[in-house]
Amino acid sequence: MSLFRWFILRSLRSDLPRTAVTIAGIAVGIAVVIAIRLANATSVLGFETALNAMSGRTSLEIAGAGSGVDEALLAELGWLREYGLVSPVIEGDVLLDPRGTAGAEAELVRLLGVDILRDRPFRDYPLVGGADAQAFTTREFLALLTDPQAVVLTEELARRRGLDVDSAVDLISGDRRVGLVVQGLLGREGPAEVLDGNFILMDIAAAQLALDRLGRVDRVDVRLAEGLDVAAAEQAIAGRLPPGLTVQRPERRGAQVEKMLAAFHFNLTALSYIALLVGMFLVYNTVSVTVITRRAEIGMLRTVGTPRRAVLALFLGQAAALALVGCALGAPLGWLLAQAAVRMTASTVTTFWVASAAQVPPLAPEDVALAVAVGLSLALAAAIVPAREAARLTPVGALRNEDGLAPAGGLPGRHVAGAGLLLAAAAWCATRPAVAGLPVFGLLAALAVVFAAALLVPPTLYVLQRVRGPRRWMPVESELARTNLGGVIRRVSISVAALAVSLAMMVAIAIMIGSFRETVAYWVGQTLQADLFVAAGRGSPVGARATVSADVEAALRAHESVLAVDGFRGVDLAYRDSLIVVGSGRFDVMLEHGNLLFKEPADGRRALAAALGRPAVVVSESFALRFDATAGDDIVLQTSRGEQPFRVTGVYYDYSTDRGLVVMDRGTFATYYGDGRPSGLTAYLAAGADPGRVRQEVLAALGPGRPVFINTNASLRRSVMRVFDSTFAITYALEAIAICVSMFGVAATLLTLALERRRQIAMLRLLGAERSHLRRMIVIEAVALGMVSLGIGLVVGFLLSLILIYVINVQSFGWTIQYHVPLGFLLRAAALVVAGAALAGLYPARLAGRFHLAERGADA
Amino acid sequence: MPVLELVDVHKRYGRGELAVAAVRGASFTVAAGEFVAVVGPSGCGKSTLLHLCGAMDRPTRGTVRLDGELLESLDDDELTRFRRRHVGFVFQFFNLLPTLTVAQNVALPLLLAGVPASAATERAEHLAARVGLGARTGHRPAQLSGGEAQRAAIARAVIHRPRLLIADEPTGNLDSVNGSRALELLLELNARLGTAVLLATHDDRVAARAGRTIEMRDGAVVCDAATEPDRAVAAQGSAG
Repeated sequence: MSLFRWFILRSLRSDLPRTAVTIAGIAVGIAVVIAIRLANATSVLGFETALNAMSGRTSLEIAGAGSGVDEALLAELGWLREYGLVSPVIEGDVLLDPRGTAGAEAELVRLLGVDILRDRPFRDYPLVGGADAQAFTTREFLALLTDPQAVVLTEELARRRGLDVDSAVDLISGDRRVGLVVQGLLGREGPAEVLDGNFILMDIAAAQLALDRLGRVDRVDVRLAEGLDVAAAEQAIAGRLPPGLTVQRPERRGAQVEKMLAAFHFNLTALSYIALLVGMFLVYNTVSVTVITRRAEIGMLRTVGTPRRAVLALFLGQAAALALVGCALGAPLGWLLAQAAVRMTASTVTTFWVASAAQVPPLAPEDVALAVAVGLSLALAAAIVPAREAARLTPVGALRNEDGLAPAGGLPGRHVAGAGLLLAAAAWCATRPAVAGLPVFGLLAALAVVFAAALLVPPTLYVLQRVRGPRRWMPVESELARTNLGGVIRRVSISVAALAVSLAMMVAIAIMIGSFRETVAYWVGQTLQADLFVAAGRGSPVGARATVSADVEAALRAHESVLAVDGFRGVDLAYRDSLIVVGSGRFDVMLEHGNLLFKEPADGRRALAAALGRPAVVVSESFALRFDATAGDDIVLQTSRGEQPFRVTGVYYDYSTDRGLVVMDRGTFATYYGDGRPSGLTAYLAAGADPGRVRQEVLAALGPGRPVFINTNASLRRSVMRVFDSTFAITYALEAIAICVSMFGVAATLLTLALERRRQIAMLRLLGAERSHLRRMIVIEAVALGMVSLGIGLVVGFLLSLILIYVINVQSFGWTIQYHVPLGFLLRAAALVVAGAALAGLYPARLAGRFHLAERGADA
Repeated sequence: MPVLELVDVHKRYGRGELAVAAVRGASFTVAAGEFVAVVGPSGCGKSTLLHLCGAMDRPTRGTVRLDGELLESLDDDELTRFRRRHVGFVFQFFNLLPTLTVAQNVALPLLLAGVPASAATERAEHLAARVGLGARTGHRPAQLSGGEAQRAAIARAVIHRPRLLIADEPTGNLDSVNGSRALELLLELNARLGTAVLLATHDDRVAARAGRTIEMRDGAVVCDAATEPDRAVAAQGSAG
């Protein structure tokens, strides 16, 4: 132990900057992994917390297929009271806009509408009554809500928005603005905990009015009587429910959401592990430098009888010490990063899946254990090569300070064979199906390609160092650089592999995102044929139920330039334990004006025509892939009439959601799910009409202050691409970290090499090499390493992009992406990498110029 | 005009009480074509003196004039260029660059001086053949014996026809046969090229072959005298 303190800890203390950078590298890597883990957990937890808070003491819930429960059915469900208490509920995400706060943005809140008399046994509503806290009886509470304009907010929301009892607020649901008055404030308990306090409570009738869902409730909550078995009751109730209604436990919705987000989280987690490259390469370099600069001391230790194992343990101990400190710092840093990551991914989760907002949970012991397990094992793996090198030193060799430089040996055949095997394994994995909806084999294929690339680095360097460049341009420096690198292939291979792998990931992800972007742009261009798009709400997930009012549709139809109007209505529906979206549109309008891109049959018009007026549907590609459905199959959906078979007449391309979309003609939808208002409208204009002018005129006709979102075709396309770009922002951020770290790795490797070669460098100076010769030599080495990494990175990146696009993406999201190489981006990135590599060589080059001539060797 | 002229040269390392005087007041000259041995016990300052003479280091006090150039007036890069043109070096452990071939090692001073690669390689191969390494030009240092490596180092030291050759214990790491061959080569080149040689050695037999011996003790030159002819002959006999 004292040997460790004297030999390792002192060395770490004496080279504080390097120690600090290494620890910081490990800490950042661990922090990113922990942050993504916590952020992923948070987005599911946010939904589950909301679910639990909203469910309260509900044991079972009765729900309709897609569009809730018809109020008329409630009377028929009187028998439910045999099982316990019953409370009908309506929920919705709406915008709250405090009046008189011009400029402040309206805020997304969860609205719960209940019959307060029935609901108090289900949920806690701790009214705090503004400044003067007082206890409320149910009757007094009821009095608060009898006014249809009454709303109760959480104290937290009120404080944040400067509201109090009697404040006037506007509630925006879809395109309707409803004026309300705050009648009471809730403490943070029960449903008020939802979405960080973004919760409002209304009487059920007022909520139906505000949400434009008169005559319907979302579900009927049941609180079973004491002593009743939940499973038995569930089974009994299911047997008595009329067709179209189902009974389920509240937690099932949480499981569905978790499943919905699994692929997104899985891919994000895989990506986060790239950041760990940081720590690994820094540990490798730090331990290498210690071994190189302290060879004589190692020799002395060996001379006085220190066994090889002890030397090995010393340097592994150094890596472990660095890793433990890095983990200790990285875990809390990860928690802090998670806050930022939640903000970054929340918009993606909300855009594509569910409204979510939640506090990042505190750091749990298992998070810390994960950090230590991952950090420690990777640090030890990184240190094993230099530590073994130290252990192998002979006392004489170490004391003589012999160089590690040696001319390149033969072609490393074992590496080539290993790489071949790994590539074959990758090809096999790439053809395997998904495991439980997750692209496990796809990622294994990617991993195999990455390791094959790492194995191919030494043979590539071996072949390249035999190629002489043109002799006219800096002949001495380039020849010295070439032979120098040839002598250290084993040593530089790890750094080159690290940079190559990072670059390969960057290239693959750039190609994947570029291809995806091009595909989406093409799809948007082909599919979005309408001239105007009316949305019922902004910033809510696909499938949200805000609707467009009849007067808005009427105003649109009334405009002289509008030729046809189509409406889209979608409902969430459970299908084989997943949440899908069942949507409707007017197939006759789509046949005449629209242009859905069909995968099968190629003639989409035929598919639409076949489904018109029949119990038939067209499904999105992600639905088809996830549930293995093709044209001609029958799928069974829950409807208000019970389970019904629908014939699939076509599969179309869709990139708006990976949840799976089933679309039927509006008439068919009305039959099975009720004829509710659409959540969005599309309008086709007469030739020559100016969409911008029509938009203005429709908005003017609706009057000022109406929260209607009308997009022209061009602006919708722009906003689709904006959402796309913001979704992938985090991907690029993680990639940038990996590249910067790898660049640092190259710099650190060159520094290590310069230190290792100080005798040769001093000898060169003696023979007349000027500092500028040495600087150029090392910068050439750096650029050469950068270019080799870039070359390997490009080749491997293309391979990885094929796996990402054709395996991982398809298995995760079920989307066909057209392959597209973003050439401009890749060229710019390549130029940056080469410039970055040159920059990475500058410090080692400067350092080499400063080596004293007397460093030449033992004979000085 | 002498090739090398030292006037009251001192070299101190460290400061205050810890200061060590490695060279104290050395003054001597070396003429063109002269072969001078520097002798003395370990730690007497031989290597430091050679560093000062070879423009590798600067004196703390005193002047070193090499081929008429006052070294203290040159900055670091000028000193490097000066070494490249006028000085050659041979060391005990050869100090060949391990990743370069024999021909490349020998050609290096020419390449650094800007001689085209083809011409430099041609001259290097020619010289390598002259020192008995004609069949070894494509080999790397690790593939050479000690004697061959030192001959390659000697060829590298003289390929640019320096005015002064600094040799620090050039036979110290060789067996007696290879040591003799290396010494003969140095003597031959000294005679043929007219290059002045300043050679540090522990070996009396080597020192006896020099035309002049400078003896050092505790950093000071204590004796500077021509080698006695009978010692030289005896040494030549025992070496042969």
